[in-house]
Amino acid sequence: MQPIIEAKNLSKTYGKRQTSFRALKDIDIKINAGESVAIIGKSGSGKSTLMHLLALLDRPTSGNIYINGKNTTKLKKSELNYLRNQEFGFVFQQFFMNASDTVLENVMLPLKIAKSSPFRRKELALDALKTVGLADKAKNRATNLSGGQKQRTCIARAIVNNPKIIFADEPTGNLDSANGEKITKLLFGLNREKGVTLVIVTHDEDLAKLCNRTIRISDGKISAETNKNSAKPTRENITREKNQ
Amino acid sequence: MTLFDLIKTANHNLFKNKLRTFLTLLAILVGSFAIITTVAIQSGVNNFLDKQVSSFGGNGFIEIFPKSLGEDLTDQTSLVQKPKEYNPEKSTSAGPNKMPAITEEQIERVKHTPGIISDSVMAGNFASLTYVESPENKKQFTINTSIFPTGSADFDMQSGRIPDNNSDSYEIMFTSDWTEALGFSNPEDALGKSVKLVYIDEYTKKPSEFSAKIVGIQNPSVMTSGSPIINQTLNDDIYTANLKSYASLLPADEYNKLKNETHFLAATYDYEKYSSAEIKSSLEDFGLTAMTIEDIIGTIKTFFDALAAILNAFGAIALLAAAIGIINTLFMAVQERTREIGLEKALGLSSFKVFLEFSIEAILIGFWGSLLGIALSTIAGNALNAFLHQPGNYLADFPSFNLVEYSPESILPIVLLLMTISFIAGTAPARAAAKKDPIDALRYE
Repeated sequence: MQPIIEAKNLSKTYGKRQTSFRALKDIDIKINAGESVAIIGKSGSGKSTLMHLLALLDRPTSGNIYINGKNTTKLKKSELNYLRNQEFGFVFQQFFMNASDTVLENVMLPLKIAKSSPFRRKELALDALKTVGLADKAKNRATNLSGGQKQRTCIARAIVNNPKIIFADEPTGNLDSANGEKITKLLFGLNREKGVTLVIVTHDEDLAKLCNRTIRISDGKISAETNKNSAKPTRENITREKNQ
Repeated sequence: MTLFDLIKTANHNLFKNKLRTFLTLLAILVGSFAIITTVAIQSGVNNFLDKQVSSFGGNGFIEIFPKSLGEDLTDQTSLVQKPKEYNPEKSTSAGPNKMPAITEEQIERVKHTPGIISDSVMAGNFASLTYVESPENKKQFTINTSIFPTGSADFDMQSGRIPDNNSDSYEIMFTSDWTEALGFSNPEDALGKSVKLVYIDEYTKKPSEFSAKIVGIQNPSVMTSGSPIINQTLNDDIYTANLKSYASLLPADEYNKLKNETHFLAATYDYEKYSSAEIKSSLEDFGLTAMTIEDIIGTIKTFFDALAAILNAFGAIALLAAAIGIINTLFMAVQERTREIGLEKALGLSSFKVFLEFSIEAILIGFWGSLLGIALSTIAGNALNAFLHQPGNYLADFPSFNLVEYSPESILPIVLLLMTISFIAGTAPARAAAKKDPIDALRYE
């Protein structure tokens, strides 16, 4: 089976000559469609850099990234923009919402960028809000939401364009455990029910354990890779892991 | 994002920080107010002058006088009058008006001057009256009349018609400010009524009376400076009355010469082919001087042009300051919305669209600022017009003259100009926004 994301000899160097810093060193990764992958590591290990490269937010210094078998290194900026807009969903630790806009407007943003018709935007955004259980908050200002509600809105925004891959950067990092669990359930539910590929960057071991696969990064290199036996975690799985 | 979305988003973002936006708009407003008001004044003045000029049969109207008249005037107004040698040839006539005369030969030469339309040349003489008496309230007023060649003038009429130079009866036309003074309730009321015109001889103290029919009322005009206009027949008869006391004093031939004297010529020249200066220099060659519409309009125009230049300079300075204000405001907005820009770019918005988002915001500042400027200027301008037309104020006598006049053709280019200036001011912040790296932008605290 062709991997949905494949990275070959991925390196990233910041700065020049003497002051240069190699954040990533010759990394090879294959992620299959429908998988859930945790990229785990301490801060400064290079895990965020790796995610930025895989999510095509940044270009590698050397090496190639293939999305559905297509080499992205040679793609133009506009093609990368299109790919991110159509195929990817993003969830960030700090949410990144436009505070003065309504919840609905925030969720519609990817569709607005994609030039969907206003009618379709609203329809899809309301669907996405229903999925995260916030349909009744559509007209609220984003500032008036609680942290958990904000992150659920962000998930709605991430899925509104029906992406193949969701990149989540410490999605539960700013939440209490109850809200964190809700978000986790939501993300893995999407993975399980809609077959969305999950790439989660975290330093939370508990969250990482829920994923099919854990890629451990330290000093810019893959230091360990663990595979779970079961291809997809079940609901029992999640609760069992949490209770441990 | 579609262009419509970009405009909507930019406008929405613009009013996120209301106070800051308002203050930036204020700077644009001052600049646009100054420029729009200037343009409105220029268009008001030009419309007025056009109306005045067309009332004189276009730009080609010319009045010709003996050169010595002009020299006399210059002499009289100079600070020190030098002794002047007597010259019988150049001396003024012995008539009651003591006016220098134009000779038959000069008239012929005027008719053959290139540019002057020979059929239009009309000879006139200065007839003087002592007073005019109203048939209504019997009040008496001093009066200076003038005559105009038929067809040369297309007056801005309020009612009635222009005195007919071919008519044998006495006809007179007043400006509208006379109607009230003469005791008429409205211009129509005055039509058909007769006023008594009286000349009292300086030596014999004998009055000559003329009953002239009011045939028309015109709007005030800067060209006639408010003097009533009479027809040729009446003018000739008044002039004859002026000379009555000389009939017995002067030899017959001298008297006849005086009676047939010409004091000025009125004519039309081809203003499309000849400049007023060219015509004047040709006339100068044979001892005549002239006054054209350009001369009269010129002084008024110079004043308003200077006023416009000052206002425009003020507007330009205000706009420069406003442009800096826009740059500052937008740089602050870019700083504030760094994370928003990062998010939009991560979600696939191109750098160019980010540039457009901020550029459109800049253009909108120009747009709203100029709209506010127009609104304010229109309100202030109309108030000023109304104020100036109040009785006793500068324009009370010119109901048809609006100092400020607004038209879409004059306002639209200004709106576009301000939008362009705002766009240019916005390019630097917009480029800064477009250049932001999504990762750095998202990390930005």
